[in-house]
Amino acid sequence: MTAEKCPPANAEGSSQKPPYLGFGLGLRPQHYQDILEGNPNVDWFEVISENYMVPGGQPLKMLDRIRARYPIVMHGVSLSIASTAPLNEGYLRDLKALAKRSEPVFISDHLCWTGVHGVNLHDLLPVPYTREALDHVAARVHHVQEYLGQAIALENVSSYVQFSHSEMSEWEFIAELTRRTGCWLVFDVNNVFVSAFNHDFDAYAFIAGVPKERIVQFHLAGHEHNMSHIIDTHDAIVCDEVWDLYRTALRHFGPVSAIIERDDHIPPLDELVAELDVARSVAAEMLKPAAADA
Amino acid sequence: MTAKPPSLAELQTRFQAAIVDGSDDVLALIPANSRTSNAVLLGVYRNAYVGRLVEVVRNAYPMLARHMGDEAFTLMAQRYVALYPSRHANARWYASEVPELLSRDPFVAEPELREIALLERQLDLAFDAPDAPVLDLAGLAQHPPETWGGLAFVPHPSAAVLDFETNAFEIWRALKDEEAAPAAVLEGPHAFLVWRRNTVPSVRRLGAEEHMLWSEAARGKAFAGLAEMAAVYDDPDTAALRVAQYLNGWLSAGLISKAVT
Repeated sequence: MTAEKCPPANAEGSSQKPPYLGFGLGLRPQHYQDILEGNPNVDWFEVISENYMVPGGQPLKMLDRIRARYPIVMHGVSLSIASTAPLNEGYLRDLKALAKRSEPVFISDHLCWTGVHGVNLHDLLPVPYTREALDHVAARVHHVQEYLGQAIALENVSSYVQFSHSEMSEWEFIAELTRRTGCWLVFDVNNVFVSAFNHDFDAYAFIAGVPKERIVQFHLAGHEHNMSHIIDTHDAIVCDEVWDLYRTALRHFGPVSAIIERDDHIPPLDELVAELDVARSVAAEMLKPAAADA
Repeated sequence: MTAKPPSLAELQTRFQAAIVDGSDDVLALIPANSRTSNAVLLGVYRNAYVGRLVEVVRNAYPMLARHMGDEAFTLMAQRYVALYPSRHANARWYASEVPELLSRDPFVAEPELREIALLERQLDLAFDAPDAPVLDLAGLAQHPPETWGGLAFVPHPSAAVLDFETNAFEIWRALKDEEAAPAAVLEGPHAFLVWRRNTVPSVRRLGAEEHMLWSEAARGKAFAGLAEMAAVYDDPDTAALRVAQYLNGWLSAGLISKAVT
């Protein structure tokens, strides 16, 4: 198969870097009422795009109400940017319509694929870090950014396998992808920790290898440690090792908007807000000198 | 000797086959890590695939799961995952063909299963059906009384009729209320109306006459035509009054989007 010719580098270079948003949470339906009736110490919310790509009803009404009070970021799971299946134009149309309605600060998805041959495995599947894959993904990022009229952000995923024919590291792949396309990066601290353990690489090499000026968001989440490998479950509190990596990331990248993600065993809002306060404290402690300069 | 590396498209085909069909072909492309085998690492994706989609099915049909029991429901859901690979970008729609599976052997021997599933699916569809205006009595009063005979009523887009043969509704309701569910029985044909009232999915039984009139109204028959049908169906002297009463119920329940001439 011949790789697609890559469009000119940094075609979206004119996009403004999204502003710093502070400390947010992934919006979950269980918390709608507490958010609207209380005044939780949350600066912004990240919404799962697909949860609101529905015809009407309560999800969109709640999104409108929360959007009226908080900045939001749209975070998708089904763009399948690295798939060799054709881009799903209907999905892109619905995504663009949702963005028009809810005016997110930016739109993100994952550097992964979710299926081929018309099938969706509803998982974030790993990419071989080859030149062919890079050309392919870069061309699709260009297409999506042109269609949406804005640069998107892509998140590094947790992976459990790597491919022996990869030609570069994950961070080299990501760095080159951002250089070619001008896309932003969601730096998932937990996912770096998980993949580093699963593939025996140094998480600090990842941090040093991605372009700091492209990072627009941190993700923090919990995982399940199986001793021989770690599974990214998003069902537990952020562990000490991930907090440590967050400190390192803050030292390297400086202030970056951050969220806590929880997708299973979702606790009451108060507990997540308390965990978010830990993220605030860690960031305040790590960024003290920068704060004094300002 | 090293084999030529696969193209991205070939790799993805083989990787997907490894997850969906259990093929081990892709393992040759995956190194082990320092602690475990490549098969264990690939197994994370394989296990997650079935487990995740079974949960999608369970979340879409919570009362069906309660009725069938955990073990039987999980087996049914695993069978669904094996027979119905997702074609949906959004997992929200993945479980929508469960009623179709339940109309096949061996589930067809328990017809209430399919009907409970139809009810849960329709309530889900009503939940995020398209938004539309809701006509109330005051809105209807904007139309001069002399035009009412020619008025037709556009249903809210969330509204749908379910035709049942069993007591699936009573079973579903008891399970939802955490009460002992009645045994499944065949009751003969009867119908339910499912729709979204404000933001809340709702369901209620339709009597035979109301079922007929609602179906005709939804097809665009105007008030005078509905009254004529009611006059044939039952006491002609009270036909217009009965239709007006049904219409009043539909309006106050948020079932009508607009009246058109």
